[in-house]
Amino acid sequence: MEYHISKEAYLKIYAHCVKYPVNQVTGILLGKKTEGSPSKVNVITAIPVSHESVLLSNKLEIALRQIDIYCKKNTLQIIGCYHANELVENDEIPELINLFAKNIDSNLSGQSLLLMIDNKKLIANDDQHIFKAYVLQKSWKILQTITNYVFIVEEEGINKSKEIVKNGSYANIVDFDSHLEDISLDWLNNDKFVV
Amino acid sequence: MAGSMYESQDLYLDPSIKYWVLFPIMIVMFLVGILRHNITTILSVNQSLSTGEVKESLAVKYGRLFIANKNYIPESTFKLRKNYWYDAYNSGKYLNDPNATANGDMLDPANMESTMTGMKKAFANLIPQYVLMSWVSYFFAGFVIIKLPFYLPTRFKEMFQRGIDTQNLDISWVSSLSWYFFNLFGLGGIFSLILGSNNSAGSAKDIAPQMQMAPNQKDRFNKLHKSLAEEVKIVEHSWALDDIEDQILIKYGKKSPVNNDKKNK
Amino acid sequence: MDVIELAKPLIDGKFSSLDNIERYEILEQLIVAYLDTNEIDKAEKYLKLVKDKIKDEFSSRLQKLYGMIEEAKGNYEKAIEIYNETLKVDEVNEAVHKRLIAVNIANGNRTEAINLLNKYLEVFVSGDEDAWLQLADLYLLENQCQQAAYCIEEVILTNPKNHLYYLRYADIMCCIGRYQIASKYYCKTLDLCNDNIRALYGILYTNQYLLKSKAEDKSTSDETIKALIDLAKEQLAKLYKKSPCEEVVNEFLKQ
Repeated sequence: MEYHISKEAYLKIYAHCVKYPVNQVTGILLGKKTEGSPSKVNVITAIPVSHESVLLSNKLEIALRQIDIYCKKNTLQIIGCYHANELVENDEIPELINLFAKNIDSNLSGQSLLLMIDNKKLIANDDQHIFKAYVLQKSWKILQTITNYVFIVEEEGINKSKEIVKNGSYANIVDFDSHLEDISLDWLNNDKFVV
Repeated sequence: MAGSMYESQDLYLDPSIKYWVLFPIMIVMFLVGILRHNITTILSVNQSLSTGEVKESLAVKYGRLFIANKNYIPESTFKLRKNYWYDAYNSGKYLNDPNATANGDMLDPANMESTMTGMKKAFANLIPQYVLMSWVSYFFAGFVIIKLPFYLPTRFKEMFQRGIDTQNLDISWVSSLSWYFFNLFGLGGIFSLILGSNNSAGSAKDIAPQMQMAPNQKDRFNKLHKSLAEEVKIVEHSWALDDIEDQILIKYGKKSPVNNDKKNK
Repeated sequence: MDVIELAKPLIDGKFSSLDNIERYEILEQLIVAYLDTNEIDKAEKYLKLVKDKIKDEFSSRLQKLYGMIEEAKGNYEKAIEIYNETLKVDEVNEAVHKRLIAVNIANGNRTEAINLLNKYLEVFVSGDEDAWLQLADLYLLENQCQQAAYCIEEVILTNPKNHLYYLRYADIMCCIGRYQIASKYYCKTLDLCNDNIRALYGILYTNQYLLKSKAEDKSTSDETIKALIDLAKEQLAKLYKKSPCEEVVNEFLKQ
């Protein structure tokens, strides 16, 4: 089983985290799941959803429904979600995210991806990616510990992430919360955020 | 001899009056005002409240807000709060000293400090006023200094023309004591510009000596809490959101305001 | 960052030309700004200036700054110690109380933070809306929605004209599952803040739910519910006309 994170997805997630450094952030992963040998899950892009201090389920639900429609228009699938906790040392999966991700998993018929952001790596700012990847196998297991599961992040993504912090372009990312304040902001396509 | 009170009497005043009387009085009063303000600030620096005092006064503030805005929360939580606060106010739960009696003994050590500060402040306000007033009437008596642009009834003549014993002099001509009074009131405005609105050099309120400080009522809050208990007991809930749906529909034009004639789009 | 840019020249350069009180207020802001951007050594350097001025007198404000420096360094235990000592001397210092609570939140010690905040609010029972809002957030993180609702009710009582409070309350009511009350509070939000997108989504969401639920859970007529749903859909469609997300939302509204 191969999991591949594209440059676009990585940068969007990174920008979302950096833009709201003191809040918890959540978003959805979009891509394609293909069977074969090996089976692949390709995370093509990510859609940032929330940066509010306390996440409530009704908003997530509305966002999810709209993303669903967006996916159908663009022939993509919802293949997972990502989340970063507020406190640096806290790397637990919050209950709400747990349920949310399980929901996505059942809609996808399994093999969905839950990306928890490792805040320490985000601060360290070195050449590693910032994720702790989880897959659901009865409970959430770290991907790298499962045999025959490969996790690849496009190298260019990691390189460019330093750039977008330096030149401030991370601030152009828009999530559902910002959209609710100003509906002229396109949180689904995020055209203004140039990768 | 017939004094023509309707003709303006022109007197020619020595221009040096301007420099030696008007300005000095104004400047002195201004400086004294600033001095007063600074002294009062120094005196009030040491007045900090204890937890108990903060608690009881905020409890009163809460009660008033609760009674004012009770209709915006659902009825169930309203009832909860109503019962809780009725008990709390009645039993003196938030009071600093539930056993306080009315006439807080002024010599009692706990009271001493606040009473002393109150008295100091009162003196700081009064003494300069008396001193200045006697200074002005002593040094600057016996002549008119200024002509008022408006007309006053004769009664005031006695006050404003103290020291000038003529009967016919137009009331508009006043003595320096009256200039003192004008400054007293007028400089209050200037002080609030310079010292900020909370200054202690303001005018009229200091004239009446601040006697409410003296009988330091320790049980002021006890009484307030009791009366709030009564108010809370009788207050009823009328939910402001009861027909909010209709209000919204009417607002957006989906429903006409007349009851029997519902027009749903 | 802006604070640092503006304040630094004031402090370094025209040091003597500022009124005494103003100077130290700006210094305090500068120190806090440095702590925010993690330049702790600079913060300490400026703190020394304050210390020299105050010398041996006890100052709660100075103690608070000491505590904040320890917080920035990550020495939460030390910070808590400093704050507790300060509070022994100066009971009613709200700022220090709040820092103590903040440390516990940063520490991950949410239950202690809730405890302290409750004690604080027993005394400062009126006028501190931020404290109630923070407590509501903490309760939500602990999944105690009922208590969070209580906190928001408190702020509504203090400030019944603020549409954000009604919005928050409605969100929490959704979490508890009381959709009828949620709908009413979303309506009130809309009343206070015309064309509020979140309120419109909220009205749509709650009333769609209510339409399908049992009679005992709702207090308005089906007619009204349907009217509200239509209203929400219409308003959203209208407002989204100028939005790049129009298509998606129109599809969404058809559901």
